[in-house]
Amino acid sequence: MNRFENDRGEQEAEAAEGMILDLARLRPATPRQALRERIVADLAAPLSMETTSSARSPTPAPRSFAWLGERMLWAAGGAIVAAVPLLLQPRPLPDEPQVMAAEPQAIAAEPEMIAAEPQGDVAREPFAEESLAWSDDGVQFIDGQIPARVIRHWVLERFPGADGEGLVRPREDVFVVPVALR
Amino acid sequence: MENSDWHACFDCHAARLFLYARQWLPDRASAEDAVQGGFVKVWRGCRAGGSPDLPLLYAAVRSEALDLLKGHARRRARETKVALDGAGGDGWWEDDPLVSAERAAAVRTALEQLPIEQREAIVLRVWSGLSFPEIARTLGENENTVAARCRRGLAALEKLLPEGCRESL
Repeated sequence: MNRFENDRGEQEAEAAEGMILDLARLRPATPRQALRERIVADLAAPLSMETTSSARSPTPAPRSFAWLGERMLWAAGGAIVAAVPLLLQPRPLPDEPQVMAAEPQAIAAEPEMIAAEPQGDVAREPFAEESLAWSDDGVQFIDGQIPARVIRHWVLERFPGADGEGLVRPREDVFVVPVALR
Repeated sequence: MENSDWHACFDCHAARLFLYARQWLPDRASAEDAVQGGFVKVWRGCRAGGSPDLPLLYAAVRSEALDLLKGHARRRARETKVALDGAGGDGWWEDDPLVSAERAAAVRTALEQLPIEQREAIVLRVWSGLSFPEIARTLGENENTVAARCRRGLAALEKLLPEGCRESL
């Protein structure tokens, strides 16, 4: 930097200082007295309870539950969006079915007659039953659509006869247990 | 720290802080809010002892003003009306018989045409009386940067002022 540039820089600095002094003759306006009172109130209030007052016109406070309603709407919308694909999706049929319903639904099948029907004078209610055998036929599709587990049970019923000797009649119970395939 | 301490600090700096806040905020009320927020925040922090650090105080007011400015965009229509209402009377300068209102208005108009970076540097230098290191701390900038901004801003301001206002304010 040569001497000419030094002189020029000094002149600029002096001019700037002169301008600063001129401008500084303008005094900034004092804020209103209310500002001091608001600061007094703020500094006097505990930190946790500080509610800064404002000179601006207050904006209306939001409704207390407006935010909750908005969030509930978003949550409900999200749940509906998530549920729609699940409802529209066809249910797949896995290879290994699982038994879900524990309570069997007994469907009385037509018993195979291997003995003579009790006579009309024979009491219709057996006085004794003898379990003969159980059979698990596994899962079958009823009407080709509804999966169910088929369990068979053979029983020997004893009826009191008119002659006092009594009669026996076999009975087959078929339990069809609905299952859910997953 | 005693209660009277902050009153003395407020008396000394309120007008300067207020003018500084007005560089962003178009109406008095918002500028007072910025001063209030910044002042309370800094004064709470320095209660343990000592007077507040001036660059910190100005930086706090600046931060409050910028926060208010963000909300300001949402209320633009209302604020524009307030700004227009306050354009005549103003609230920038104290009424002074030694300085004509015309010249005061000319300085304000010229300042408002400067980029905000130059304007805030000039306001802090001229009316807040901060040194360049203090301005640099307030703005979080390099000292040379703020000095250059101030120098360029003053040169631009001189050109923007009407002929009669350049000679003497």
